This record gives sequence, C-alpha cells and structure tokens, in this order.
Amino acid sequence: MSLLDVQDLAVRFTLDDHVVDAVRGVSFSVDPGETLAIVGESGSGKSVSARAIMKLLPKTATIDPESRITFDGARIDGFSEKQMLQVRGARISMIFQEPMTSLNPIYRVGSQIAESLILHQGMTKKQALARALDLLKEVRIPDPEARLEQYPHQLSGGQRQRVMIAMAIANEPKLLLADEPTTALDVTVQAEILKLIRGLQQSYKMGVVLITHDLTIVEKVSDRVAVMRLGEVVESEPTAALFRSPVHAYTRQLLASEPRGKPDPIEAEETVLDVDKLNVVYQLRWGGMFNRKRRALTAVDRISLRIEKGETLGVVGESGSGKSTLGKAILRLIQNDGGGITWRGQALHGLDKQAMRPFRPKLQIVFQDPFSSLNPRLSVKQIIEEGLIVNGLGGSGRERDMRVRQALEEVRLDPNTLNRFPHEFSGGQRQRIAIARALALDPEFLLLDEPTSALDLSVQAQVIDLLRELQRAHQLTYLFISHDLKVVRALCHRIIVMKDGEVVEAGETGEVMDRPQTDYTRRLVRAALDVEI
Amino acid sequence: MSSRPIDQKGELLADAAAPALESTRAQTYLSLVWRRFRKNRVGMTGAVLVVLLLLITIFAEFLSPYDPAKRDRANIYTPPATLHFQGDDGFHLVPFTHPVEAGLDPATFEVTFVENTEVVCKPAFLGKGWSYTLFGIPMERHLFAATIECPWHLLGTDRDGRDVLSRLLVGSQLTLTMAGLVVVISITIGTLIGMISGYFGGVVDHWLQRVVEFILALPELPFYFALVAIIPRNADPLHVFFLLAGILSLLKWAQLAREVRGKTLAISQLDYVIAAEAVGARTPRIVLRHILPNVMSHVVVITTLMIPTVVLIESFLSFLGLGVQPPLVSWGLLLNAGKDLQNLGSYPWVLSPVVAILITVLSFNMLGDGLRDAVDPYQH
Repeated sequence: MSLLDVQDLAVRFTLDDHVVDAVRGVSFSVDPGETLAIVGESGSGKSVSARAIMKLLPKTATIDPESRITFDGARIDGFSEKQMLQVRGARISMIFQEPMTSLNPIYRVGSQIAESLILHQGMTKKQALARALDLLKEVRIPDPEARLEQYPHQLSGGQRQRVMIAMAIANEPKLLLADEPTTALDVTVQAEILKLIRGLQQSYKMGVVLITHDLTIVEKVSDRVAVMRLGEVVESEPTAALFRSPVHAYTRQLLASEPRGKPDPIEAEETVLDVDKLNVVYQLRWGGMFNRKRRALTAVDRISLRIEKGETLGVVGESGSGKSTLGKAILRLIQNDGGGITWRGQALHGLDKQAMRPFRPKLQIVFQDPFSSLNPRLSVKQIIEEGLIVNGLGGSGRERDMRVRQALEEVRLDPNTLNRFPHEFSGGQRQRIAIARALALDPEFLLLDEPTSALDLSVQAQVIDLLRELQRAHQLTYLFISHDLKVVRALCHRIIVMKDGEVVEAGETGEVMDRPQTDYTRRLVRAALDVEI
Repeated sequence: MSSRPIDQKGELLADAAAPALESTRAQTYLSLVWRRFRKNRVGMTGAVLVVLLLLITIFAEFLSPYDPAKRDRANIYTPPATLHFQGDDGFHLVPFTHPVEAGLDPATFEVTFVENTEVVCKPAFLGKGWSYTLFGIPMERHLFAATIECPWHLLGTDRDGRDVLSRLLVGSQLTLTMAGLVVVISITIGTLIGMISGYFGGVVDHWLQRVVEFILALPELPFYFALVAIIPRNADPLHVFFLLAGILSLLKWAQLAREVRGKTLAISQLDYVIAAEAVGARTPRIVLRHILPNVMSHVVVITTLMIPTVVLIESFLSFLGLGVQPPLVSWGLLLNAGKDLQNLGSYPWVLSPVVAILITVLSFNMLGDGLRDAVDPYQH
C-alpha cells in the first residue's frame, strides 16, 4: 500500500471578482522510500497541490469535497486544524524554497530546531538541544556545535537550507515535501543539498515529493515523475521511461526546451568595447557617530576584457562574485573607481551624466527581473518610446508609434498590445517588452543581466532563440551575465569566470567548459551540466 | 462572479503570441484601484460621507435658513425645535415647527420651554432669505427660508440668538478650507522635499533630513501657542486665518517628507528607474515620470488621513480662542461658546459642532483606510 495517495484533488481560489481552479482532478501516490517529482512551470499548480496535502493554503482557497487524500492508511483530507497539528511537522514535513524567510531571524538556530522536538516528542529543553546537535551533524553542517548558538543571518543560504532540512527530519517524518528546495541556491550548493536529501531518505525510509521545474534534477533524483500543466497532471511515469519516450505533447515540448544550440560564428573582427583594469569599490560604513567604521569592499577588481562586433561574451560566477556590478560599471550606471572603458575608440570613463547621454542609445541593458524593470504606471507604448523621446529620436509622434510597433513585432509581441499595462503580461512577455525597449533605440551593444533566470524553462528557450535571432539581424554585441552555464553555452562565444570580483578564467566557451583550469570553474561546470547524486 | 477559464492554449503557446484577452480595453491603474476600493464597505461609506460633507460645505449658505451673523434678542438660547410633518390638516411636504416659549417654573425659578402648538411656523421652500454669493453669483434663495415673524431653529439658538444650524453649516466652510489649505501646502512641500532627499541622497539627503528632524522634534502644542501669540491681536480676522494655516503647514510637512523619502529610496533602487537612466532620461523626467506617480498613491492616502488631524487642531486652537477670530465662524469657534460648565447643563445644543467634527474625522479616516488598502493593486 502506498504511503500517500491523492485522488481527484481539486483546489479553487476565490479572488476579488472571479474564481480560479488552480488544481483539478490531480491524482498521484508515493510509496515509502520513493521519490516522486512533480514538474511544471510556474502557475501549473504544483505548489498548491503540496500545500493542500499539508492544509497550508491561504484563506481564499477551498479544497473540493470530492478530493481524497490518504496518508499512512488514514484519510487526512477531513482532518480538523487540531488533528493536522499532529500530522504537520511530525509525520509529514515540508521544506520551502526560500531559506532566508522560512527561518525566524530572532531565534537561535538551536532553539528553532528544538522547538518542534519539545512540541511533538515532549522532550525537555536539554534533550531537545542535544538532539538538535545530532541533527545538525546529520545534515553535515561544518562546525555544528557553534551553529546551535548562531542566528540565521550568520549562515549562508546553503547552510540555512541544511538547517531547514534538519528541522524537517527532526521528528523522523514518513513523508517529506520539498518545494523547490534548491532554486534559491547557487548551482554548486544545489548538488550537495540534493545529495543530502537522498541520503536522508534512504536512512529514514521516507517518501519524498520533490517539486521542481529543473529537469536535470528530476532525471537524476526521482523514481517517478508527474508532469503538471494548468492545474492538471498530464503525464505520470517512472523517470527513465518518461525521459526515454515522453507521451504527452507538453512533456515532449518541456524536454525539448532545455537550452541548446550554439552561437553563430562571428564574421568581422573589430573590437567595439575595450575595458581596461576596471575597478569598483564599495565603501561600507557602519557603527554610530562616535565609533564609525569603514571598510572598502572591492566588487570589481581590475578587470580587463574586450568584445568584438557581433560577439557574445559571457560572464559567469556564483552570486556575489561581482558579475552584475561589472555590467553596470561598464555602462556607467554606477560609480567607477579607476580603469578605462573604450567604446569604438571613444573613452567612456570619466564622462559625467550629461556627457554619457549621447552614448546611451547605443549601449542598452536588459534586466533579470521583468517584474521590477517595467514601471507599472506606464503603458507598453510609453515604456518603449521613452528612450526615443528623451534622445530626440523618431521625429514625429506617428514615426515614433511606427518604431514602437516595429520593436514589438521584432520581439514577437502583438503590436496592438501597446496600450496595455505591464501587469497584464506574463513573465516571458514582460521580458520581451524589456528587450523591445532596448531595441527601439537601435542599439549596437546589449548588456543582458541574467535575462532568463526569472523565466520558466520553455519561455527561457524562446527568449534565447529570440536573442540569437536579433543578434544575427542587427549585428548586436552582447555582454551576457548569467549563473546558468547551460544558457551560457547556448549563447556565448567566449566566457570569463568571476570569483570575488576577479577573473579566474577566460577563454572560448567550449574550451573553458570542456577543460576547466581552476577548481572553482570545474565545480561550476559540474554542478550545472551534470548533477551527480 | 464568473469563472475565468484558464487560457486553453496554454502558457507555452500563449507566451509566443500576444495574450488573447477578452477585452481590448486596457485596465488602467485607476480602474484597478476602484475595483478593489469598491469591495471595501467601510471605505465606501467613508467616501459617500466625504462627498456629502463636501456638497454640504459648498452649498452651506443655500442650506442655511438664517443669516449666521444675525442676532435676535427675542430668541436667546431657544432649544431645538421638533420637526413636524403631520398637522391637523394632514401631511405637509415642507416640515413645520411650533415656536418654543420660555416660561419660569414658579417653585424652582428654572427656565422651562413649552411648545406653543397653536402657532404653526412654516418656512418658505426655496424662498427668499438673507443674501449671499455662490461661485460669485449673488443669490437670495434658500432651501428653507424662515419667515421673520415665526422662528424655525432646528438646532436652537446661541447666547446672542443666532441660529446654531446656520452657523454650523457656514462654519464648516472655514474649517474645511483651513484643512484643505494646510494639507495642500504641506503635501506639496513634503512630497517635493521627500523626493529630492530620497533620489539625490548623499549630502543633500543628510542635511534635508536634519531639517526634518528639527521640525519633528519641536513640541507641537506649546509651539502653536507661541506662534499664534506672535500674530497681532488687532489683525484682520482673515489675515489671522491665513497666518494660522501657514503656521500649521510649516509644522505638518516634515512627517510626510520623511515617508516620501523612504518610498523614493525604495523605488529609485528598482530596475525601471535604472532602465530609464540607461536610455538617457534626465533627472527631472525620472523624478516626475517614474518616481512621482509611484509615490502618489501613498501621498493620496496621507492626504485623506491628514485632513481630520488638521480639523481637530483648528477646532482645538479656536476653542481656546487662539485660532480663528470672530466675526468669522468655524467649528472650533462655535465650540468656544460651550466652554462654560453652566451652559453645558442648561443649553446642551450649543455643543452640536462636536457631532459635526466627529462625523468629519470619522468619514475621512474611513476613506483613508479604504484607500490605503486599495492603492497597491498589483500586489496580491
């Protein structure tokens, strides 16, 4: 008999003026010791399904009375809030995506783990803390004795996620629900966390429901896969079978949307951007009026690079390595502290805001988060034509209108949407608008700051294709910042690898990926391209 | 409520093509705010009350049956008269009253009031009364014009025989004008300084914030007293009114400036502001087009919540005799008449401005709370 059996689960959200059926007729089951992966894009209802099992849905949600959730031989869908307290955290545990917010910042790590032990197993404070130490050892946090006394902000993201896992297994649950447990973590940390979950699963004989959008993880970790789309399970198969012969059209499409392909070869050899020993230093200040302390943090440390016309240069590295700062410094959007930037023979360093203005249309930028990069109060047309207006391009209102429509067509959006507002578009569409804003100015150089990392896999592939096409059509030069080496491989001619503000490795993309010279690069490549569990 | 089917084409395809939405009309920011605000029952009640209040204020003279300044020796401290619709001769569309006559209790020498049911006082509907100007047009018509020979005091009269209802209605103009004036001035200064401080940062921010802190640190009440004392006693009442508005504004902008600065700081870190910089937009454009509209929602909420506080301060200062000076009429000044304990016991109707202030403060607060919940429609 299976450990968890979900039959015909349906969840409905009642919003201001309409209802949304987030999940409809979803059925799946998990055996003890088995890992079921639920895959789907954002909005497909995978998290809602998991939360429905735990009864952790917001007030606007109602679970259909026809739904049957059987756990360990008992129907738990009819359980009251009080009965659920006995189940939650004790027999079913959950790990969330964001380890920053799921730990309480004002309590020590030790007492947070101990709390659920005292609650569920009636331990004394002393016993619970001793058990918490064992758990921290089990999740292999370095220096576990010291961690007990630390606060969450003193730990790194990966360590915090380990603490979350320690809390989740504290009561030896039979079922673990992991909701995108590695999405917020660096790629190098990701593999270690997955390995940890796998190890714990074997020693505790837990059933695991792993919710993710990352197909590489699914292939390596899970025994069975349920593919969700628009609130329904479209395909449910053992992992090997699903990857070998996907049946449903959507699954096939999903599998095909892994970034692939190679950048087009470069034709002309002409250096357009030359950066020479660029330096960016942040002055950190803290303390009060009388004990003021200062420290200089070098975010970009004497970095030199050059980009040819029509080329894509990738910048990769873990979060905090200074990639984004480098990009913004090159475009003079933040203060530089030394070094030279030459654009087609003209020096950009040392220019003030006013003097930079003539160069702005030529050098454009696309940001990571399409939700904060578009002003919610402006229409699509106003957003795209702003650059034309401030630079006096495009002449009359009608001509500007033409150019806006043209830019929208180029990014494959309906030009008739130009009076709409950003909130009416999905993430991928918003990113297209952001690209259109840059394109409308007819730029020669685009700084792409993680333009695909906030997007779903299939959308990501489309945006990559779009970027490649635009590069071909307009002879664009890209500086592509990313932590995702799969995307980088599909798009970049050359890459530089950054760590703590310095370049540790540089070269042709294939060269660096196939024969990494440093340990750091090797780790990045291995984590991204072949997750080994 | 309608069930919106999830786009059947699915995300993969829908993302490549344009969104196939049912309506072509774009949902503007305002329509989104309105959609959420409409759901809030308390906020809507507040909005209706505020609109009513503003209408009453604008047409105050038209609604007043008496000249608020007209004294009447014969009718001092008349109690509120009861409105009658049903007379001996059947139903009256225009309500009438019976005059109240004062008598003396022979045993206790207490003043007693008896309705003289034999006389029927009927006001002229849309009749001619005292003259006033509405939007610059001289007018004489009133909703109900009381006749000279027969009194029609719905809220009684004060110690000079002036009609309390008329004074209350006309007094609302000054009180709400004061509130409006103070709020407009302080909101303008506060928003401007807050945005400059937040967007430019650095030394500008540092010194502007020290000024804001200085003003916030002033002890408010003693400071009002001191400033009001500077205004010469024999000054023109209208000058006193504007000086008072100026003083209140000078002290009220600081808090708002601080809040707007915080909002601006947060917004100027957002990618769309950096994107505007990257396309080459100048600073004034970024501030006016990208930052101002996004802090405005916050400012509107503060405005509605600030009006009641100014109404309260004005009434308080005028009550103490420090604010608006006669012959001008404001709610605070009307309350001044009720400051003596004996009056409270014998003539409680002179306290009716308290009710007016209460309703005003409550309705603006209700509106402000409702707006606060509605102005951010993009978050769920």
